Amino acid sequence: MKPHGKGRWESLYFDYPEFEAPARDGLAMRAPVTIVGAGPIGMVAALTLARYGQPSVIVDAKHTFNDGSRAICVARSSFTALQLLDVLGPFLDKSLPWASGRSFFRGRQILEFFMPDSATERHRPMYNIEQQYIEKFLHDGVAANPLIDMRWRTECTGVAEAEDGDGVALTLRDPDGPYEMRTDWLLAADGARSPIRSMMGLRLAGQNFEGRYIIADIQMENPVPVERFALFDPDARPGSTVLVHQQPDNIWRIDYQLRDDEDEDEALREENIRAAVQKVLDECGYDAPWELEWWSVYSANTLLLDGYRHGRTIFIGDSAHIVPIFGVRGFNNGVLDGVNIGWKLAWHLAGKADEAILDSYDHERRRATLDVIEKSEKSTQFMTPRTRGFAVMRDAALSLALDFPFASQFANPRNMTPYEYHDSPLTLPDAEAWDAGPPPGAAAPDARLDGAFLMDGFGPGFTVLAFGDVPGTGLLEEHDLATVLRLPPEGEAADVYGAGDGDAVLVRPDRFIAARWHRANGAAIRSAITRICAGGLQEDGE
Amino acid sequence: MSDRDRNVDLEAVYAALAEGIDAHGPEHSEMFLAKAALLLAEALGDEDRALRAIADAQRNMTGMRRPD
Ligand SMILES: Cc1cc2nc3c(=O)[nH]c(=O)nc-3n(C[C@H](O)[C@H](O)[C@H](O)COP(=O)(O)OP(=O)(O)OC[C@H]3O[C@@H](n4cnc5c(N)ncnc54)[C@H](O)[C@@H]3O)c2cc1C
Repeated sequence: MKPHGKGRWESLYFDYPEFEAPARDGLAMRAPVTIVGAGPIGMVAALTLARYGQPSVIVDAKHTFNDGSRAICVARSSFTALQLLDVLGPFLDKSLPWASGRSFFRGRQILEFFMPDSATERHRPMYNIEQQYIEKFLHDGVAANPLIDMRWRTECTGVAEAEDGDGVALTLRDPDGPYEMRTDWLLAADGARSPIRSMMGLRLAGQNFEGRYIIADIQMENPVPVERFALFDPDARPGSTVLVHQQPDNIWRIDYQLRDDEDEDEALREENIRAAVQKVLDECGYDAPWELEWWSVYSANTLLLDGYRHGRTIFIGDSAHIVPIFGVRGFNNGVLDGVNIGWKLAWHLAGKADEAILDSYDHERRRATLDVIEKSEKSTQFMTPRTRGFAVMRDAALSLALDFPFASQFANPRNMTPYEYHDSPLTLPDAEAWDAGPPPGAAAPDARLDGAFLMDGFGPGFTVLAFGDVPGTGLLEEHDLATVLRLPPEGEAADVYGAGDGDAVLVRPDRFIAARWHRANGAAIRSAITRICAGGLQEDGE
Repeated sequence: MSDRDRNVDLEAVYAALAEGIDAHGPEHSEMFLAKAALLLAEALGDEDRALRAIADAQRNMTGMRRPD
């Protein structure tokens, strides 16, 4: 919502572009991949496909980007993905890195937390940036890419598996009226209310929590370090929880929980938003003048689809899952969806992988969402207790935390590192014991190397980290199967990976570790890549 | 060492809890007892025993007359 007299696309800091629908003349009516929804996740998927040479069509019903700052916390895992997609530059220039936060209970500080960070990583644990910029920077990449056919003002109104079995039949409507299109694969990136989900008769399942948050953005000059504030039971809003985040362009996000007895419509009225924000600012000791930018209401849902792949239609991002706000996973979880399906579909379309590889998308990303849900349920239960019992215990813990540090750990936001694909069919478990280093299934960590970073040298596709003497790796390059990085058997990269002379680590295109070997050789690595591309490393019954 | 050999003056603990409940009244007793339970569990340093104590505390709760 916007202040009185302001239009939906009027903003204190962001100029929404006006996109036109493409001319009908010469528009392709057949595509290997069509993506419905040019939200952040649809664009990430298109950029990933294009990164691997595969064209796609994206349609979006709107004429511009989503309104409001929405998802503002971008995690390291997303920055790694943006780097892979060659669109990271503007994100680094614009966003505000942060790594710490403080929590207060009734005005007294009970906790200062630091997210795990390391000089061996190029990117910080978290960056704040408004979603309009996320979408703009992704769209700049989309618009500049000849492989991506972006169609604004084009709504998908019908979807059906083609009767002749030849792909998916789509009905699209642009300002000139409806038209039909065929696509071999459909990526439904059409957001939390996904019309495609409804058209296919699918429903999200899970819990609908009662917790409701108002999210309000203001513009205020207030030069202080970037960190996250959580205020429990503050004088400004007794009995509720308030979060404060800084964003670029002097924009501040104030999130506050509505109590069960508060009426949502009443709370959303402009004068009530203004009064609530002012009280929070007073409590924080911020006395600079401010202007109201945008506000909305968000509830702490945990919902997901039973299956992410339905024949030739694959759900990605919010259309597949809705997760609570506290884990800052709505966007970050979706980015990993987009990159995951992007490389797998690209490999399949290029004839380098069997269709079976697509099922591993569902396997990996549904489990990732379930893990997010499990972790964020603990945070949610703490931030917005659902029962009297949990409310009493929450207050007990917070009140203890004033004097006893052990009790403040309940208020610590859960770990935000990405889910590890240990039990994925694409992950090869260690054949021999490793003393250290991230196991297969984990996200590949970075390390400093020759004045730059290890990951800068990763290939677009599979990457092999060969430590010391690993015979036969030339074969992988000759057959264009992987980029081979020949690394010293000692040093930071070897330390980070727990590797020594003769060891090798196989990293997937999306920069998760697929396998690792002691006394590695090119033939073993090649056979692992072959099995991944066949859609599974594990034998039946394993 | 069995629990019984321990030198715990339960009379004093009993009285302190009673006085705490009186001091905080019906409105805040619950939170007071919850805090005491968390502190005791932390001091105990044994999740299993703490959980067992919490389970034991829930037996025979019905049919008891509430003090006024
Ligand atoms: C008000 C609000 C506040 C939020 N705040 C936060 C937050 O603080 N933190 C957080 O992590 N996340 C937040 N989120 C969630 C976050 O914005 C989403 O997780 C993220 O945008 C998901 O991206 P997506 O690409 O999957 O879907 P979306 O961004 O929703 O994009 C879907 C796109 O599909 C298009 N579309 C839909 N139907 C059709 C159709 N039939 N034909 C053509 N196009 C169609 C829409 O126009 C839209 O552009 C918020 C969301 C909302 C709505």
